Amino acid sequence: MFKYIMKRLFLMIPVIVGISFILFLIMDLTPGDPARAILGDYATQEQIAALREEMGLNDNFFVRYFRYAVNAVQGDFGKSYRTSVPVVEEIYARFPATLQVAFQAIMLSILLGVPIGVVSAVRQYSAIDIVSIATALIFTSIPAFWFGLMLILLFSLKLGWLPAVGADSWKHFIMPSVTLAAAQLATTIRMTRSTMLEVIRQDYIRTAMAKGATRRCVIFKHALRNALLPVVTVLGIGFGNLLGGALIVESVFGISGLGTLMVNSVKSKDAPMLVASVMFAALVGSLVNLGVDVLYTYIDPRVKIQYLRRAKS
Amino acid sequence: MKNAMKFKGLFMVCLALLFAVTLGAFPLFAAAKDTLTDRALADQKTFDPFKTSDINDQKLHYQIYESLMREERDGTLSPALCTGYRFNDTGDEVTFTLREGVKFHNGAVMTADDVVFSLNTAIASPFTSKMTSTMKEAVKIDDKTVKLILKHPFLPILGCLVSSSCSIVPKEAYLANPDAFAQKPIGTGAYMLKGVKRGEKIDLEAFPDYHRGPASIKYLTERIIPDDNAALMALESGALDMMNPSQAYTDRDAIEANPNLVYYEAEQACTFLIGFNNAKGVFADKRMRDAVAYALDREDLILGAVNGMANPVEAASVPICPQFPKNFKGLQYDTEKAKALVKEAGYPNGVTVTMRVIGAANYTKPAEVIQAQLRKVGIDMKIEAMERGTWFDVVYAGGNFEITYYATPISVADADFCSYGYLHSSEADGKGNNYMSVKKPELDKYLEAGRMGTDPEVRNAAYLKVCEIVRDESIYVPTYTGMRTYAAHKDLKGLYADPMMRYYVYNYSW
Repeated sequence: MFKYIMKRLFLMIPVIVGISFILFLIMDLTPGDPARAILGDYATQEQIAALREEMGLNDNFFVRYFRYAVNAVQGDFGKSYRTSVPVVEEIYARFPATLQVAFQAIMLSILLGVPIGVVSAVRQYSAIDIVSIATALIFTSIPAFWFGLMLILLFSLKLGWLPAVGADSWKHFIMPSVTLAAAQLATTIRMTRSTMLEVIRQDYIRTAMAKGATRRCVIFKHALRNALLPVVTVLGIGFGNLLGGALIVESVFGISGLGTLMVNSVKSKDAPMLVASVMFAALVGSLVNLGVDVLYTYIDPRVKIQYLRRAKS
Repeated sequence: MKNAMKFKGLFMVCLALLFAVTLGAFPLFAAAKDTLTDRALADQKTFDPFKTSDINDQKLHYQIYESLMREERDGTLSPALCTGYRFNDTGDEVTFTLREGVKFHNGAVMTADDVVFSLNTAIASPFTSKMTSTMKEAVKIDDKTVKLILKHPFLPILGCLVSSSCSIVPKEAYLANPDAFAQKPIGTGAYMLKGVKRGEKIDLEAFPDYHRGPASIKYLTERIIPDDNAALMALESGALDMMNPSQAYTDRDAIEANPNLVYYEAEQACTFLIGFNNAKGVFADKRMRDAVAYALDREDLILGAVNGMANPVEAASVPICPQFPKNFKGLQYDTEKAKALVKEAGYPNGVTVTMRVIGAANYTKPAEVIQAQLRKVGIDMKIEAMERGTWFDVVYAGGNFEITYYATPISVADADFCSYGYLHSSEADGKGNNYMSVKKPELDKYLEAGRMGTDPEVRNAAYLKVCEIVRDESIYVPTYTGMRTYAAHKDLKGLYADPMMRYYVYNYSW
């Protein structure tokens, strides 16, 4: 298992290098001069030319990328064109908020989505099933920014229970997490329901029932464990998406996060910041995927055996 | 007897408790609010006043730093870090007597060396060149006196010295580590930086040793909320005390309908305009430029583009400038004349042109209305929306455009700032702001007379001639001046919408 994890970690290196190269290239091909973006709208051509020279922007693309890569390997990802702050500092400052919102959202979708999905499958076509399917459909359909604004309208403006913006206390994270969890919750409910429906029709479930095992034991011990594999996959992908795609929620609730950082970097053509933040998001996404793969081995012993066989051969 | 004493004691305790509870319950005795929460659109790029020209960054610089001069609410200028000034006879030197005993946030006393260093740093910086391009050098005369030498006589120089681009910083602290200074600024202003939570908020605290006395509001927080709707809801819920709302009329209505909020409005310090490439392409022909001027219906444009929240402008100037010619008439709306001019210019079957604009609603929405208006006179205008930096590279610096929609933003209420750079031939060909490639010796003459004149009457006359030439030659077509808006809690006193977004929180109180 350790070997497998190390192999996966090594495989991340070309992925990260590839992402950095592609991003660097895209930023180079998009119109707009970083020197002008730094100096402002009214800088003269001479001033812009001088800054381009100072920043090494007149060098060949490959020279610039190589210089960036060499510095990055040494831990220097450069300074933001926009704020002159080292990009690592900026990412370090932003990541905790994004992680907190994403983690709370994913936990919410697990804690609510899995039980609802199970009940929905076990009582197929009952009122509870119809309500849960309809709720999932609504949560999938409503745009996050609208849902967020409606929550602010109700809980901040009308009821005054929760703060509208900011990230000062745990209360500030309730509405962003619920907003972000909504779509993921819908996916979790639907996925749990459909996999559970498939599993509870299997022969071994019928056998367990025939052997006199309790209904609760059959559902939670035999069926759910087998139904969880695809759910865990979806949750893993969802968590990765939540980490990188919390932009709208961050923007609506005024939370400092990676999403807004990336968008602002694109807008201001802040290449060092964009490349580093996307690389970081990719690294976190890869680690989450690895974590999900490792989790498989605990949920399904057959997967673990497969890894062991491969390692032996 | 003992019981009576006990009862008396208990009664007194109850009375004291009741008094305390009553004190707490009545708002009269409640602690006054000492915090102001404002909305910021984005993170502060830098706190170094010499490394930004961004109006959003400068908003906080006006709280942290001060310059030699200050602008009052009515637009008049008064000494800030100086006690007085005098121009020399030729008008190209200004000597300032410095205010004594002014302290920086680090406790150091402001010296003439600090002032000279700050002004010379601003003069050398490409970021602040808009304010300092007429300044040559600052020199120390003695410990209390500093002389600012100009490249030529320039009456609006005092207005430039109001700008945060000319902030006074402590020389030693700045030179010790300019990068660190940009994160932990030290000024003489009414507020000191307390903390920054990137992407979330910026906290400031009143400077107790401020030379005009500590600010009435002790704490100032800039809360970063990029989304307009979320910000408005935050204002309504009390999470914000003041904000610059969007220009959507629904937002204005919501604010005006809320009894706890007040809506403030003032004309922006810029005139939006239809700009032409005067040197090449379809609009090098004056008849085509005239045709656009005749085809423009300003009222319709204002309604369609900015929901009526603007004032029409017909003169090539900005209304807040003292030289703005009131009642000036431009070419009047006349579609028949416009159609005839298009035909006369050699396009009997109409002509197709492309308007390159910055891809932001300020520019794209007016462009769409203009597109519809020009279609009526035989000009089929395509709109090419570009990323801001690209537009500056292609249109502003490169001159690769036929027609555009832009503005003449100014930071000093003087006509020189909305005319010389945009119209003088020395600023053309990528050397400055004359992106419309205007090269007219007669116009240069009046622009120079306005810039270097020391008699306000002479300057007014020069700028009137500039407006006439721009109209007669249809060099560009002024359209409207938008509105600078602000919304705040009704209990906040001292706030007003400032055309140039200079907000001095020191003047506010609860």
